[in-house]
Amino acid sequence: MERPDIYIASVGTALPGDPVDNATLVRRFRLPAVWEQWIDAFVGTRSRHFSMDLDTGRTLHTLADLGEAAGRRALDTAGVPVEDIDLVVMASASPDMLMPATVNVIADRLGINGVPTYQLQSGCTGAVQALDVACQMMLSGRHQTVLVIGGDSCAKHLDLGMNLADMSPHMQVNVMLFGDGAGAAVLTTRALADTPVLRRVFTRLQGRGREPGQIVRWYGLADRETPGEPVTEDFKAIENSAPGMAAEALHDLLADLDWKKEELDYILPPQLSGRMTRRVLDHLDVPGAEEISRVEEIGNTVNAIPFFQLEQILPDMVPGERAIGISVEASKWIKAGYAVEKPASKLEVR
Amino acid sequence: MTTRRSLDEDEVGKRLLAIFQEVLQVDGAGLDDRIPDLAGNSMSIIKVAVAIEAEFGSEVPLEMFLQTPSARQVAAAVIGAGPSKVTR
Repeated sequence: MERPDIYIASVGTALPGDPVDNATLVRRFRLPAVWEQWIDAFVGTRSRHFSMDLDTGRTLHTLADLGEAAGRRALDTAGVPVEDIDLVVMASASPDMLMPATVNVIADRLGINGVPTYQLQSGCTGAVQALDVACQMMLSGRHQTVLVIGGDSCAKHLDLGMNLADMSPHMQVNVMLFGDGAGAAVLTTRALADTPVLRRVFTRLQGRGREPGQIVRWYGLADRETPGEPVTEDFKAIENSAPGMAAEALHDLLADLDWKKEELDYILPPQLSGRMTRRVLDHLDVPGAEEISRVEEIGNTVNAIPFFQLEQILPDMVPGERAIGISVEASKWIKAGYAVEKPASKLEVR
Repeated sequence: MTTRRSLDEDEVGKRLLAIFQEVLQVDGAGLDDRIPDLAGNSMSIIKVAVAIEAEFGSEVPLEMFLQTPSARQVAAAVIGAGPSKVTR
């Protein structure tokens, strides 16, 4: 049976509030001023958005708010009525609650009901995993039009009262790396002219025998007394492993598609931090492809990343152009990627 | 009346050596000895920089720590940065 094409009918994104620059971040958390210079030099992120108001400490937006906004934009842009959505898949490392799953709160708000919904607990490769789940279910023939959502929020980890200057480097750096946001895409197997096609989605666990590169804990009544830090990273391991894993993912995708590096028009690299993205790009070695990165401007938005990158290229892709996005997750080490192509002509739209 | 005078490079350098000893575990170094290579160890760089800012009120260019400077060279940067506490 011929495999149907999966069209990316639209992408929508949402960011909370105004951008927070490094100077504001350092000042709000009462860090020594030299941290601003350090972020510029070693993180490479200029600004990010937070769901929390840094003036008042109040959380102004939930992840469901962001996901709803992104989902609504994607649906509006695609011109797809919610009744046509027959599957919703979401990825997040920071759901508002463990239950109900945020995907179901968002579906309810969007007016989606009576369809399967799934939420993946995931880190930086989560959106790609969600795309993969969506694609596999579409290829089964059971689903035609799917809403895929990815998003994250730092709100639970930002406390204006905490003495960040005396906390561990993990806590300090995390405040500088990440930003809040959500993205969504409408995928469909219904043939759409002049619309990019998701040619392949690829995810691989590479964690056998490896210590986690990132840990995010959650707590209950029984372990609240000695919980450990909520978020920790092995930055050295990430720095050492991420570029190579990204290059492997690119190689595997190209081989699977029988594409060549020289045929790529866009590369959407991992968005760990501005500085790490530069290192990864050196390893990917695709000088002929235009780099699409948002991390310097909005920080590492984790499960929202691919949507922010895709929304940059989808309106500009011309027939025949190809793009590959790559993602690496450090938690238990996952490499992932996806390939997008705008069919060369309407005749190729099957 | 107390007269505040600026510290010279030797005095600032000696206080910097104490910071290097505590943060980088550099023992017995002299003013003109180079600090260990901190390329790839950005957390040590920020620890040293934060300690310098706390000690002298000075924010030095962090790039200099990637060039294995001596305490005397860092002292010159501290003084050149217009420190608020490089006096006594």
